[in-house]
Amino acid sequence: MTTTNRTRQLYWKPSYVDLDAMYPPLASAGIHFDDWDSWDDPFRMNYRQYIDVQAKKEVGFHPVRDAFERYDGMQHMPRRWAEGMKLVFPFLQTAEVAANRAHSRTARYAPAPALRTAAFYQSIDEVRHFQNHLFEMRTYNQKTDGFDNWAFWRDNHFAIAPAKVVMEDMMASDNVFESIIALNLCVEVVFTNLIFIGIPSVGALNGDTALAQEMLTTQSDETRHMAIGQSTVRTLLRDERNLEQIQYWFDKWFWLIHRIVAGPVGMIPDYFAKRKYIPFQEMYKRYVIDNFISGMVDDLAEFGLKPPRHLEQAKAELPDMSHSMYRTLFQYKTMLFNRMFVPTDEDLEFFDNGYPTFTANHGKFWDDVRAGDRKDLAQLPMTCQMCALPCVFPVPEAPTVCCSVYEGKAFWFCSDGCKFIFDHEPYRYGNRVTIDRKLNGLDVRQLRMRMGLPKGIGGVLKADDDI
Amino acid sequence: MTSERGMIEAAAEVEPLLIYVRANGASTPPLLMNPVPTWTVRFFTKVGQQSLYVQLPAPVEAYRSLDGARLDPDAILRELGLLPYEMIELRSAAPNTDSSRA
Amino acid sequence: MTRRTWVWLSGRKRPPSDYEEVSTGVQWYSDPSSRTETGGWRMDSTVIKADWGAFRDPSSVYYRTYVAAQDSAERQLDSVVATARDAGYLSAIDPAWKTTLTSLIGAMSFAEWGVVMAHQHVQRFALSPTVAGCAQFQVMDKLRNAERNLEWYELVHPTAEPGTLNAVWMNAPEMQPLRRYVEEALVVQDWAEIIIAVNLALLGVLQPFLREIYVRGGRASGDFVASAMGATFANDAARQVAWTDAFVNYCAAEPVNATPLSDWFGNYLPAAVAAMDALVLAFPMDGLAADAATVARGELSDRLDALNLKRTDTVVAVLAGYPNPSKV
Repeated sequence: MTTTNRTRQLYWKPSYVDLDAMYPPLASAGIHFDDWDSWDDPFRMNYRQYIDVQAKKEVGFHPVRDAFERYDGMQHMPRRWAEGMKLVFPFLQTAEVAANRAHSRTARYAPAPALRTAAFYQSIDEVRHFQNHLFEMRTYNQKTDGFDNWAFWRDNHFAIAPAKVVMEDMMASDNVFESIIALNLCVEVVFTNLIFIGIPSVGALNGDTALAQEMLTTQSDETRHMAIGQSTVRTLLRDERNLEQIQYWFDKWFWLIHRIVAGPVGMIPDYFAKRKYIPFQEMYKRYVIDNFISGMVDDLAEFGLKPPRHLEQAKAELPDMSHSMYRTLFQYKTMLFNRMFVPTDEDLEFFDNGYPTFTANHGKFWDDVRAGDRKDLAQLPMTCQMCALPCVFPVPEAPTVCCSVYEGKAFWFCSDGCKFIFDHEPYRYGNRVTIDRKLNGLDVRQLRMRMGLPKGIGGVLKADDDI
Repeated sequence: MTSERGMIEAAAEVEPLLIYVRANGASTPPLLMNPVPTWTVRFFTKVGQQSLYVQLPAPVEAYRSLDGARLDPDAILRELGLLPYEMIELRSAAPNTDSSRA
Repeated sequence: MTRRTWVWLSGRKRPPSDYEEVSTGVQWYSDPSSRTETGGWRMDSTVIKADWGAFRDPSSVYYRTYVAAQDSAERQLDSVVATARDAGYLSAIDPAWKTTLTSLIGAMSFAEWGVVMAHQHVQRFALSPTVAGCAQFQVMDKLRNAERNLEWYELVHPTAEPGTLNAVWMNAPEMQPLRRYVEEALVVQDWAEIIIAVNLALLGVLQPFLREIYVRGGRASGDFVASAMGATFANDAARQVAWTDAFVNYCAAEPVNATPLSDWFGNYLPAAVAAMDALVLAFPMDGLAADAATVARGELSDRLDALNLKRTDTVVAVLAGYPNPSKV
C-alpha cells in the first residue's frame, strides 16, 4: 500500500480569479512566513493509509461498546459514575464538533498547502470523535436520564456553556493559526492526555470499559493532531516577528482550555469516581505539568517562547479546582440534569490524603451539609465573561474575581487569566451576555423551564443508592 | 429614613439597577440583584445578605468592588453612579472575623 | 423493549437510525459567542431558507460506515492496481489512451482537488450538520479520486517530468474552461450556491462523462484499471448524487428558494457543459467522448425530471445538445 502523499502537488495558483479572493489574507493576517509553499507537513497522510488504519480502529472499538451495552455493563458501575458522564460527555462532544468545523476552514483557507492537507485528516478525525462520543452517550441513555436532551442543554444550560462559548469562539477565529494554537497545541498537546488517558484509567476502575476503549481509541488519533500543533508553532517561531502573536495566543488558549477542562473534568476522578485512581491534581501534574511544560515548553524556549503567562496561577489553583467546582454544582442541584451527592467518608478520606488544604478550604461546607444545610441556591451564579464558568475559583469564599469596564458596563472575570484576554480583545468579547444576565430575574421553576429540565431530572443520589 | 415597606412600594415605580453582590467569606458565589435605585446602601446590605443566604457578624459594611471604596450606609443607590453590572461586596467589620479580612 | 433515543428523534413511528443518532443535533444557532469577521454559523451565509436540522443524507453515511465501506472498496481497487502493475500489463495499454490519460485522469486530479476544496467551505459554513456531514464525506471521496488518479498516472507514465500535470492543468486549452469553472466556484461564499454549482451543474455532467470515458475507454484500450476506477468512483458518486438531489428538493420545498436555486443552476450549467465539451473536442476517441457527453447530458436531464427545479430555456437547450451560449 502506498504511503506517499501525492495531493500536495495539486495546489495551484489561480489565474481566472485573484489569489487573495481564493485564499483571503484574513486567514493568516499578521503572521509572517516567506514561502507558504515550502511549509512541511510532518505526517504526510494519504487516503489509502487513512482508511486502512481507521477502519481497523473502528473494528476494535464498536464491538466492545456493543458488548458493554448488550450485557448491561452499567449495572456494574457505581451509580455516581454515569452522573458525572452526563456533565462531561456533552462538554467533550461540543468541543469535537467545533474542532471538526474549525479544521475544515483550515483545510480550505490555510495559506500553506501542506497544512491544508494535514487539516483534512484532522477534520474528519473529529467527526469520528464526536460520533463515537454520541455512541457512548446513547449507551448510557438506555439506562438513565440526563442524556436525551443534550443538544438543548448544550444551548441553554449553564453547565455546558463554557464548552460551547469557548469552542465556538475558537472555531470563529479569523486566523487559522489561532485555531491551530488553541486546538492542536493547547487542547491536544497539553490536555488530551489528561482527558483521554487519565479519565479512561478511572473509568475502567469503575466498570466503564466501553468508555475506556472509546477514549483510548480517540487518543490514538491525537498523535497526528499534536504533530500538526508542534510543527506549526516551531515553523512559525523561526521568524521572530511572529513571537509576540504566538505568545499571546499561547497564553490565551492555555488559560481558556485549562479553565474549561480542569474544573469540569477534575470532578471525574475526585468525585464521580467511587473507586479512586489518583487525585485530580496528581493527574494534572503528571499529564499536563510534567508532560507538556517540562517537555515541549522547554523545547520551544530556544525560540523565545515563554511558558504560559498564567501557568503559576493554574498550578496554584489545582488543590481546589475540582472541589470548588463540585461544591458549586452541588449548590445548584435543583437546576441540573445530572444528580449530585454528598461525599462519603471514603471520599473525604481520599481528599484529606490527596489534598492537604481540603479540610481548611472545603471542610466546613460539607460539615454544614451533613448537619442538614442543603445549601441550595435559587439564582444562577455570576459567570465569567470569558470562560463562562461560575466565579468561584480558587475557593468560593475568596474568589479571584476581577473587573473590566467596557462601553459603560462592568464585565466580570473569574481570574486574571480571563481578564487579560478580554482586555486584549474587548470588541471580540464585549458582545457576550453571560447566562446569569440573560436569565436574570427568573425563579427556580422558570430557570428549570428555560434550561430544559423536566420534573424528576437532576437532584441528589442518596447514600444507599450505591453511590 | 424611609421604611422598608416604603422601599418595597417604591420598587413598583422605578427601573431597577443591575448590581452584583457578594459576601466576603461566604460560600455563595456573587449573584446579580435588581435593587430599586432608591434603596439605601443599608437596605441593600440587608437584602443582599438574604439573597446570599448569609448573615455576617454585625456591623456589615458595603464596598464598591470597582475601586474598593467603602459605601456610606445612608447613601441612595442611584446617587452612587454605579455602572450596570458593578459589584458591591459585603464585609463584616466585627473584630476577629474571617469575613472582616479583605 | 423500545430503545431510548434523543428527544428530537423521539415519538416517531420509525425508530431513528444509527446515522441519525450520531449526525443530528451537532450544531447550534444561538447568539454568537464572539465578534469576528469569520463568525460561527450565520443565517446570512446563504440566501436559502430552510429548517436546517431536518435534512437527512439518503445514504445515511456516518464515519463508521464510511470507513468500513471504503476500506472494502479500496482493497478491491488495490488488487486491480497490483495485478496490473505486477503482471507487467502496463505495456499492453493502447498508447493513444496513455496520452489521453495525462489530461483525463492525471490533470483531472486538479479538478477533483478543487471540488474537495469547495466542499471544505461547505463543510465549515453549512447551517445544517447533516449537510456538513454529506460535504465531509464527499471531500473524502474526491480526495480518494484525486489520489488514485495520480497513482495510476504515475504507474502509466513513470518517466514523466515533475510538473507535467500542473502544466497541463494550467495551460492545455482543453482544461481551461474546467479550470476557470473550478476557480470561480472556489471564490463563491454562499455554501448552498457551491452545492448547486459544483455538485448539480459541474459534477452533474462531468461525473457521468468521466465514468463513461474511464469504463468504456479503459475497456477499449486494454486499461482495466481505469475501468475499475470508473466503476468504483461511480459508486462514490451515487451517494453524492443522492444527497445533492435530496438537498435541492429539500430547499425547493420552500417557495422562497425557487428563484435562487433556479438562477444558480441556469447560470452555471452552460459553463459546466462547455467545460465537458472542450474535453470532447480535444479527445474524440473515435466518437466515445461524444457518446459519453450525450450520456452525461441525458443522465442529468433525467435527474432534473425528479427535481423541483425550474429549468430555463437555455438549460433545456444545452442539455439537449444545442449550441451552448457559454462556449468560448
